[in-house]
Amino acid sequence: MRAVIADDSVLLREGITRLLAEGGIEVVAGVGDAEALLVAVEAHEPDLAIVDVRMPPRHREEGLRAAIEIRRRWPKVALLVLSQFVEERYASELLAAETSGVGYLLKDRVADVAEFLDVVERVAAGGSAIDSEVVRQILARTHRTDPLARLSPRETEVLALMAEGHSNGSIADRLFVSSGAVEKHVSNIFMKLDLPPDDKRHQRRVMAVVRYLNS
Amino acid sequence: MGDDPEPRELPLRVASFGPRRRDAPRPAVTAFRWLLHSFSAKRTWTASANLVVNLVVGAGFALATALALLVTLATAWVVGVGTMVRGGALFLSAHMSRFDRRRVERLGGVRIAAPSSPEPGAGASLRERQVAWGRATWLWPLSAYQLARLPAAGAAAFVAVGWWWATIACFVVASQPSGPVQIVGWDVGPMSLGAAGVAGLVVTGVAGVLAWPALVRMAMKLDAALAMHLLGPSRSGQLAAEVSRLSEARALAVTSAEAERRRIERDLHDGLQPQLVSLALDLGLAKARIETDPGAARAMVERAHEEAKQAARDLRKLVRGIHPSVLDERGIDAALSALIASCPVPVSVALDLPRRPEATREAAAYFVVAEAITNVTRHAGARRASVTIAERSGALHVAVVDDGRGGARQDPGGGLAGLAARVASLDGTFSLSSPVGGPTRIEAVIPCEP
Repeated sequence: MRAVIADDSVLLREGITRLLAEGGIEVVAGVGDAEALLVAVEAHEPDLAIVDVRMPPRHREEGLRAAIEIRRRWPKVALLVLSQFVEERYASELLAAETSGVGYLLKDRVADVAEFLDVVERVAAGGSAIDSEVVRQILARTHRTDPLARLSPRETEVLALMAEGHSNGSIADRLFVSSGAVEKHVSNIFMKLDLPPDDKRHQRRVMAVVRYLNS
Repeated sequence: MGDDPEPRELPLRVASFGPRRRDAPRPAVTAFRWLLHSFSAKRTWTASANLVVNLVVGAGFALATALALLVTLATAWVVGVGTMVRGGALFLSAHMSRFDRRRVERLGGVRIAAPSSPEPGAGASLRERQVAWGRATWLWPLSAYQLARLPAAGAAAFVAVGWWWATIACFVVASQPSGPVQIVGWDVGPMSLGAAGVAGLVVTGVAGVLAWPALVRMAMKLDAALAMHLLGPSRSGQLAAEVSRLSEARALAVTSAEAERRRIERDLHDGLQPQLVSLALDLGLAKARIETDPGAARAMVERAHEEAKQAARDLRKLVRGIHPSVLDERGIDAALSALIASCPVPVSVALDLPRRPEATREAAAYFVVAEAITNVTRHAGARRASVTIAERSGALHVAVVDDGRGGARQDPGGGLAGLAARVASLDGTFSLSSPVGGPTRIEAVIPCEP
């Protein structure tokens, strides 16, 4: 797998490069700003772009804009957006069009090597990954609004893990329940969120997550 | 006398003359209502009362002022006594003027701000007070008012009495078109009026009665204008008050920035610094033991890893607390998400903002909510909290309410005091209501328009 990294901190760029090498991912370019990122993606057509939100020259949200631009021009490139702070608003914007092959994580997460590599793999394979911090923000905002209010606490927990891009098996491991129980929760979630059963499983999953993010 | 709660001039209250809807049924009905209303309006009668009160009070006050000025002039040459007497005289007219300001407000509906007080400190002796009052040159217009008002009140009373006399005369003469007529001491003598003459007199009399409300209100307005001119603060007084208000706001802005810097310093010093030292220590120990005791070294590295992650989390929280960048980029609504997610109790948010407020004001509103939520998290023992932010009549209204145990106080140097200073530096008001037992309500009103 080939990746491009955009982060204005050389220290972090090198750190992530080492980290990805650990997971057998080749970093074909490391750049320090959004313009260079677009050039690099055009030149290398990588499988994955890892993008920092705040980059020169204004240090505001250049990375986010670049990520949306990449999604528009090169939809096959998976995106993993990293940020010092995560905001549900940015997550909603990033995931507005499509949630497959998109991740939005706190930068801190790189410290958990194995989990971070797991997320990279998942996003590159077309999955999605939303930071649990973002999920927490969305949950706090949608406390008493339907239809998410109809979910039981356990179902909410399961949906939060789905939003983070976990498979049913992975959710079962995390919640220490059987995968049969998780499947039951998931189908309850689909039902309570009025997601029609004729959709493909993956599609409904993404829909549930989007519903969750846009509420 | 700084006892007027709002040193602000309210416009003359315009009398409302009944309902003035466009679909008013008939002009005659409208006119009748108008008349009825102008007679039944409280203002008409308070203004009438003012004619009498003003004359009586004016006579007494003018006499007192004249005497005081005479004594002042007579003793002006006596060293030591002159200033004291002058102070006493001015003090007297200041108090009489306060009465008049209240009179104009109660009877005329016009609020006049008091010029600022020259009162020396509370511990000052009577002599010191009198000297301070004697030096206060702004008091002279007050004496001028006390002297000028009597003729004005007299003229108004004279016109009013003459008005009623003439009006009554019209009716009396009209009732006795022929024969000797005597009206309040005026022997009109035998008259002979035709029907047209009688009708003319009756119409004039009715017109006199009907015009009374307008006349008496006009007199009130003139009286209020004179009082406004001489009893209110001078232009330079107003500017001085504005300057002191602005310097106070500036000092508050500096204070709140200073307090914020101290808080950041404390957070870094107490939080992050020891964390990093401890992290380095654990890694140092692990390095020392890695050959001799790999198992222990591994445990230390694991601990160091956790510590490093915790430090990153804490630093993130601290940095976001200083100023969340999403606030600039997406506004207060977006910025509130992370804030309420950090609060362990459910927080409901209601925003009513037709447009984004200006950045400093938006940030102030955000930090009011942030500090309030921090308090809810730390102390309140609340089960729920609510945040409302709305723009109404040119101001941002921010309110955070929780159902916790209350008893929150605005300690000097604390977060709430810093906020109060921040809000005050923007000309806003900040209030905290937190009775023991709750609920706690933190409110800020931040003006949005100059």
